[in-house]
Amino acid sequence: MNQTLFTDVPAPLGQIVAEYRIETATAIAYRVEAGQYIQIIDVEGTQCSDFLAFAGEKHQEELDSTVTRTLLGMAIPQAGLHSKYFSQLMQPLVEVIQDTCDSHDSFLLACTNKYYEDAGYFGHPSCSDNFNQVLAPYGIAPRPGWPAINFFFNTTVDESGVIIAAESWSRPGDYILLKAHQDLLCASSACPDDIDPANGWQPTPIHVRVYDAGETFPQAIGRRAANELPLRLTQDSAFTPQVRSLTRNLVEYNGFWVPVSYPHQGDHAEYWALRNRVALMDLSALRKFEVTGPDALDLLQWTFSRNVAKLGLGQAAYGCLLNPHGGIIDDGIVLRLGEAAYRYVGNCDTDGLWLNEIAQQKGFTADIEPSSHAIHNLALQGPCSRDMLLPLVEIDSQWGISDLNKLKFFRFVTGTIGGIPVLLSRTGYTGELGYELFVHPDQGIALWDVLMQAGAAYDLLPLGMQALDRARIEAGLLAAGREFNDLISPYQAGIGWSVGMKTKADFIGRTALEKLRERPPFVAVGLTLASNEVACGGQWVYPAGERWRVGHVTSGTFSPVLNRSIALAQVAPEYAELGMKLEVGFMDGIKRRVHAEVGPLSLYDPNKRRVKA
Amino acid sequence: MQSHKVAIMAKITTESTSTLSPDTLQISPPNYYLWDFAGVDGLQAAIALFSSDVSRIAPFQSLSTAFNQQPCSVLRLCENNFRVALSQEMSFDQVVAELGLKVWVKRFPAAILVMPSNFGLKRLVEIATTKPIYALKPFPIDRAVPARINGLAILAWHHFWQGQPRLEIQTAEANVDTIQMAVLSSG
Repeated sequence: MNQTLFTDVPAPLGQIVAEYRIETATAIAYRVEAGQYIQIIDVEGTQCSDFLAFAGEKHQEELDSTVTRTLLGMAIPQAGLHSKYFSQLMQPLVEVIQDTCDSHDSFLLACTNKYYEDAGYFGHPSCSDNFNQVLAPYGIAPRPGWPAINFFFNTTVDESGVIIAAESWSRPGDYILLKAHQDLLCASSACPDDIDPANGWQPTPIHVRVYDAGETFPQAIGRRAANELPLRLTQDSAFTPQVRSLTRNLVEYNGFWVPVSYPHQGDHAEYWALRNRVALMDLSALRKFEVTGPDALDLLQWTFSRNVAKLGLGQAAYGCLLNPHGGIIDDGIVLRLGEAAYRYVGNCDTDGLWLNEIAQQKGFTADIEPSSHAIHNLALQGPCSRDMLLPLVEIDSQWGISDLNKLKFFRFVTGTIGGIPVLLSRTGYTGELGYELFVHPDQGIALWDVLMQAGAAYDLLPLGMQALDRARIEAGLLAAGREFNDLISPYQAGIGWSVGMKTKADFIGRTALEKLRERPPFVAVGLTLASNEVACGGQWVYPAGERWRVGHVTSGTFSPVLNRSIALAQVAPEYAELGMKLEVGFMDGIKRRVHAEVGPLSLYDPNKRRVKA
Repeated sequence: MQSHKVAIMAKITTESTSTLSPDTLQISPPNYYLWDFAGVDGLQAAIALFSSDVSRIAPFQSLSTAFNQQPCSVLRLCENNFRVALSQEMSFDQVVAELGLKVWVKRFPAAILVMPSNFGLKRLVEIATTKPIYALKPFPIDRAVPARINGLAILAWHHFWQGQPRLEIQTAEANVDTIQMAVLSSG
């Protein structure tokens, strides 16, 4: 049965073995066999559905959210590595396979009669009472409140410890797909709560489908970047099959499954391979946009911080997309591919929307085409990367160079590597000599294999995100959401040098930036800590001996090459001078202060000799 | 401890398969002393004791080195947590204390089972399970793998000891009998 009578919910994902409509303010109990899948769908959106599962002949084993949180180290399981819900016996009962909402609650009870009574509503139905009724035929004793997993229930714990419940994030058709790890008795509700915003004050039905155990569904988390863009499910890159053959330690990053590290190799070995030899990483999560047309240059001059007019063919520039108040929408690289053809490589799907919006506003004749689906990319980084590539690369004749040794920093060419067509750019995100290789996904596996094979002579290691993060912090390279966002200017983030204030005329945010340049509220610095403790982000920074703050840590790591705990921080300009002695507050900022010295943003190779070598 | 060892050996003798001998497993091997140290300065202590090579290994990796001119293996358990295998009874805790760093140090309090590497590498794959991010196959030298045998937690460590590869299982004392039985059963 792959068909459904219900037309108000998304199409079935596979072979349906059972299907249930849970009417508003009711609950159901249903059996699921080990290996089968349970899809819980929010039909109209903004509707919570509490969930219970029992295993064992007498239903004696049940979901335990405290056990689950403890074993995972997460508030709620997510599709991927930390995906299982456990019982009180620490056995997995169900596993999250797909989740298009990714905002659920594991802290609170299913709603109870007491909750409604205390609020003055008597005889109001509750999920707990509804569960009691549907579970009674199975011999399960009633409880005044069931510790359920509350799907689509939007709760957070604020800094004072208060659990805040608010309107659900879920949209019509949002779902969570679970895989049963044991034969289970399950119960699901359509929450009756209409006395607060949890269900948008208007409870609606929930739909449940059970799929055949023979189905296979990819793990995915659904993310929304903008109303104008479709839900995006986590995807593999062209290289992920090869990565998966080496590690199962993958996490979702910006819509892609990426490796954290590789077993028996470890992030330290990966890091040292990068610093001393050569390392290979998949950076396909970057977003690419082709900007073409007669006004492509004008559009980029208006939106991008660098003076793009200075770029020759085959030249690239790092900078950022700006908003009118001088905040960074995204950072990225513009590559000049042709007379009126550019590629923007950034982090966000919304970058294309922004460029289109500005083109329309300004009347620019320019096409902005997303090309991420057609271009995936590897980064080959490390002091041996050039030597390793030399025998593999053939550069197309139109670039005027045939020797890779002559390709300068922030220059690119097209050509082949081992016969595979690539765009080869001398750029990177590691603070080392290195290259980024853009390839059609159809050729991704072949390119990966060629590089891994050739890299064996250099003891190349594939590199995961953990080692990459260590390296980029050492090199003072920014991460979206950590060092910048749309409220932070390039002058605060430490990339004021990328603003073409003197080299080009008006551009978005110029007026605001002219003022911000004089005295940004904070400026980015590198800190070297006097302790081996790592300030991994969020810690406040204080002047020595003072109670008041001058900034905060944005990222931190232990630097193996410096053998010191280091951090990137943003501090008031008066405290940003090189050599300034500051303190980083750990815990509450009172219990322990660690001395720290202000240094350049890039504490490793501050003059960038290695990347320019 | 000695009587426990004898009892286990007897069990091995009676329950071993034709390919196994009473010497297949060794409990609490002689001239083998494990110490743990950890703390915010754990890495710095390890560097001071064993050289900066320690900073190049990741958690669950180890290196062979020397301490007091005797062979020694250093296993990194976390960023600042280390386990050291020494070949001599000595006051390692005093040596660590003399560094004046913020670390604690104590003797490894659990059991050690040593088996021939070739046998053990094959057998562990058959009887042990790991979390997805770990792997018992391959299981290179100078690596450790947290795993479970019959639901009981073990740490398998594959490293060089006195020039020879060695596969050992570290586990709680209470688990020793069960782990032995699992390792030596015919499967």
